[in-house]
Amino acid sequence: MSKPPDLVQGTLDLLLLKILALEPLNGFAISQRLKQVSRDVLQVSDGSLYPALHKLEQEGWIDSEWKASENNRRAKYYSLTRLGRRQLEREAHQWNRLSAAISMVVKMKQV
Amino acid sequence: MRLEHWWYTVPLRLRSLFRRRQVEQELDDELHYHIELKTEEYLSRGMSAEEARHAAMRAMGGVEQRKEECRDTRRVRYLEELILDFRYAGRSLRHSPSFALTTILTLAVGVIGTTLVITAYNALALRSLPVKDPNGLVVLKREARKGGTGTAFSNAEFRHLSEHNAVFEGVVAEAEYSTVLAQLPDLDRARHGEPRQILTKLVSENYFSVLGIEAIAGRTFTPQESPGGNPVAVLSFSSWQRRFQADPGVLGQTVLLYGTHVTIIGIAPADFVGTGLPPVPPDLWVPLRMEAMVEPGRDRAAHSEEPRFRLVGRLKPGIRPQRAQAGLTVLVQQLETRERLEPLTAAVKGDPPAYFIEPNNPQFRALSLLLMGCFSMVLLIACANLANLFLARSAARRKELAVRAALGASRGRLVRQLLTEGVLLGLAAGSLALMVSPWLCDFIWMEIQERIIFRFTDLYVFTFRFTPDLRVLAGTFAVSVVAGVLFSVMAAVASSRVDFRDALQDHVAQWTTNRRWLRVSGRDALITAQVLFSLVLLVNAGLLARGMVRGQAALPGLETHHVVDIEFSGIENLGFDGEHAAALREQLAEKLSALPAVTGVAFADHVPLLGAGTNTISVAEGSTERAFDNHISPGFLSVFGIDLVQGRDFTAADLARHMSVLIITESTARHLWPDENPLGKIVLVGKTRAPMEVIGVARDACTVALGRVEPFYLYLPAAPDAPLADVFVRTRGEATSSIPLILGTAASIDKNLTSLASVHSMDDALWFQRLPSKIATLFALCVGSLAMFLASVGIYGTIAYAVTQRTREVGIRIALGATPISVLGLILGRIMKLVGFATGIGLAAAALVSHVLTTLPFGLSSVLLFGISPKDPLAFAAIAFFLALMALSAGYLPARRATRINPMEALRYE
Repeated sequence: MSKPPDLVQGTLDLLLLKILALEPLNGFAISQRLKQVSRDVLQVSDGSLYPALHKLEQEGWIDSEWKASENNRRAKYYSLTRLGRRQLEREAHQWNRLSAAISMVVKMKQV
Repeated sequence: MRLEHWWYTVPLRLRSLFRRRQVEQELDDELHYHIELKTEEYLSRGMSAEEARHAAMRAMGGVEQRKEECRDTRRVRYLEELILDFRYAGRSLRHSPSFALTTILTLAVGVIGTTLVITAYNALALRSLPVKDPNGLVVLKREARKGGTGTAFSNAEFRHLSEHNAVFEGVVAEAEYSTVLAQLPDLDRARHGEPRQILTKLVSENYFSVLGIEAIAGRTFTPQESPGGNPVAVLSFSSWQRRFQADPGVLGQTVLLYGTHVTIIGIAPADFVGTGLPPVPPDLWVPLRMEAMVEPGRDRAAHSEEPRFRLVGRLKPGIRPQRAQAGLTVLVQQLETRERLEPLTAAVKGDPPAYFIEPNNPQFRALSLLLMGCFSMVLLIACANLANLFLARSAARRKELAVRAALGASRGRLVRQLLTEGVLLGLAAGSLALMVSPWLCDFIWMEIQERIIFRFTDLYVFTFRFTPDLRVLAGTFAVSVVAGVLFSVMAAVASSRVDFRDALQDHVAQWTTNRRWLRVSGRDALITAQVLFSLVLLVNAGLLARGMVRGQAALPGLETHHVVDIEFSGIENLGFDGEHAAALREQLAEKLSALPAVTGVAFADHVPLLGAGTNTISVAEGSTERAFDNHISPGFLSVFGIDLVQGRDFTAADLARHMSVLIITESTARHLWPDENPLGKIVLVGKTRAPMEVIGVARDACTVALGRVEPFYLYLPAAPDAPLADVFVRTRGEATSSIPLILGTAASIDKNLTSLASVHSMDDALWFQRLPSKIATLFALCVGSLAMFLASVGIYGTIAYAVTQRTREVGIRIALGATPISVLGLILGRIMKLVGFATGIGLAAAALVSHVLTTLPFGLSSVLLFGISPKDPLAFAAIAFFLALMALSAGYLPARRATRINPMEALRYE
């Protein structure tokens, strides 16, 4: 139940990195932002969000910092590191290749 | 890339490990922040407060599970568990301090013993010479045609070899040490000090350059050092420290050697001790061509062919020692033919130079094997103890393990926990060994120096490092840890075989034990092994100790207490040779005899108990026998209180006229003419078979070694003009109290005599004779008591534990009507059977090993055992009895306690 059925395996990392590439955010804001930019198509369950974030942090791809949030409470804000930026490029590139390949297959006309 | 990765991740891992509480707090805060915001969101959608909160929690799907998942990402779980394991192990060991202490001590004792032996072996045999590229060096050895090998070559051979060989970059020669009388420069007063003995060594001029030794100050010899030039010498580092307090001003100063000024041109580096065996650095190295200065009294023309040099060659790169051999042999044989010498040499070999002792010296090998054997046995006993201790402990902890397993610990996790405990114990024992062994080595070496070496001379300074090196210490540590791991794994495997449910239910396993009583279990094997090893060690220690007691009481059959031995070394360099030596003898005898405290003066070539000459003897029709001999002056026998059984002593007239007469011992007479009067008989002595007439028969005495009468021993008349070596003075009172008086008298003849003399009471010689047995016994007692201690702990512990485990069974037997006596009998009978069996094997093994003691080569057995039979029944019986007693008491006490317990209590026991 922790893995949302609608997220392709391995794409969560890419999504999180991409979102954090724009600006540092806290966990809750990340899930909001994801829903918002994907127009509610993609959503990550609260349960799998944090382990995923912690994994990225331990890999050295994102950094964290405690800051005051917009509602003036202390929250943990994640931001991309240099390593993370490179990882994002790599994963984005892979994703592009993969999705292009998949769409080619899907668009293939019946012979 | 990798580095950058670590730049980010390492601080995180460290933080997770060491700031764990803060990290956890942050995780908690983070998740709760999310839940609160989520709750607010649901609230704003119109849910009630409680509903909103529940929904938020549900979305998270269990805060604790999420936390676990987050923790898993930290990659430090393994380490964390390890730390936890160590903490837990530490705690559980603290709770059973007696187990921890026994284990650590047992293991440490076993390991320290082996460390000592290996260190000694390392220091004695495995160290390489402290020179440049020692692997390229070989020491030349001559295999004689008549058998035997030697490392002595003559000057001519040295020159010939160094000029004509094709395999060496260079060959160096070194003579034996010479003790010389020198006046060292007194740096403070700018003059020379009083004459004193120092050690010098003659070496070829290329000595330092071939060995690759650079002076730490000044220079070493150049090939141009010539006999005509300014005499020079190189000072050794230890001498520089000892005699000049490391004053660099000594460079360029001169040492007065018998009137010649020798300039100190350089100081050798600290670790360079020369190439001699043993590693005693001389005070000065002197170029070979200047030997006339060091030994002005030596008759060089007469001794020019005397082989007195050790030769060390540095092989050309790429040449193997084996290849060098053939060519060298040919060269030496060539020289023998050319110079029409007696063809002695069968082969010339090149062996790697040793630092202290040649590793393949048979005596040394036998001794080191013996030592290694002893200490490995101690280590084995220690290991058997450990195995026992761990097994007992794991059995006792079955319940605890079962509880942990029931709470969800995997089997692997449990084994890992036990292993950690083993590692911890091993680490502790290893650290203990690491701390103690260097200290112990130091202590032993100091004692040896203090008690043995300095008792006789302070001239020789051994540069012997009896300190465990890094490799040995690392090995020590590794062995401890491996032993800890090994035995804990063994115990873990044994205990993980147990069904945990059984253990919890407390349980059927012990019920079916009746059969196990009779089965030979691993524990029985351990007890047997312990009894066996400790018996072997103890019996031999006992034999040696009995030998020592007899040896200390053994009398040599000659007077030692009232005799002083004055040894003059290198006296011919002061001009006392030939006629002068004879005159000096007369003067000494006259002046010393005039002292009221002196009752007799005599001279001889060899000091009884410390040495003897070798000779051969035969009668006309008989076979040739090997004999020991000593050249003595008239009065020698009476000085030593050796009675003449028949005939007369030598007279001054015999000596002066070079009469062919001799005195033999009773035993020699008995061997040569069993039933005849030996007086007046003619014997043929030596290689030349010179006929000599027997004029006296002396009482047998242990003149060569204590506890042994030589079958053939000859007293020959000393030539009056032979070089003066040893003077023996019989005193009225205690020998040692007359020493200053005697030295004063010698000084009144020539003041330099006292500086060349070393004076001892003959009691010292006796002490020296007794030393090997003392050392061997001390050692055997140490090892034996170690073994006894370990074996007692082990045997007692194992048996007592095994019996305690049977408490329930005893209770039931008694509840079912067995009498306490019959139960006791059952238990003790079982123990006796086991111990009896082990003792039987152990005694057989001990007899075998002690038989080896008597076959020790080189007369060691008579020196060590002093006639004690290797099957001395007392030693065997006493030790077997002791072990049996211990085993019985180990079984009896807990068994008796068990029979006294109320059966109901026994059933509830544990």
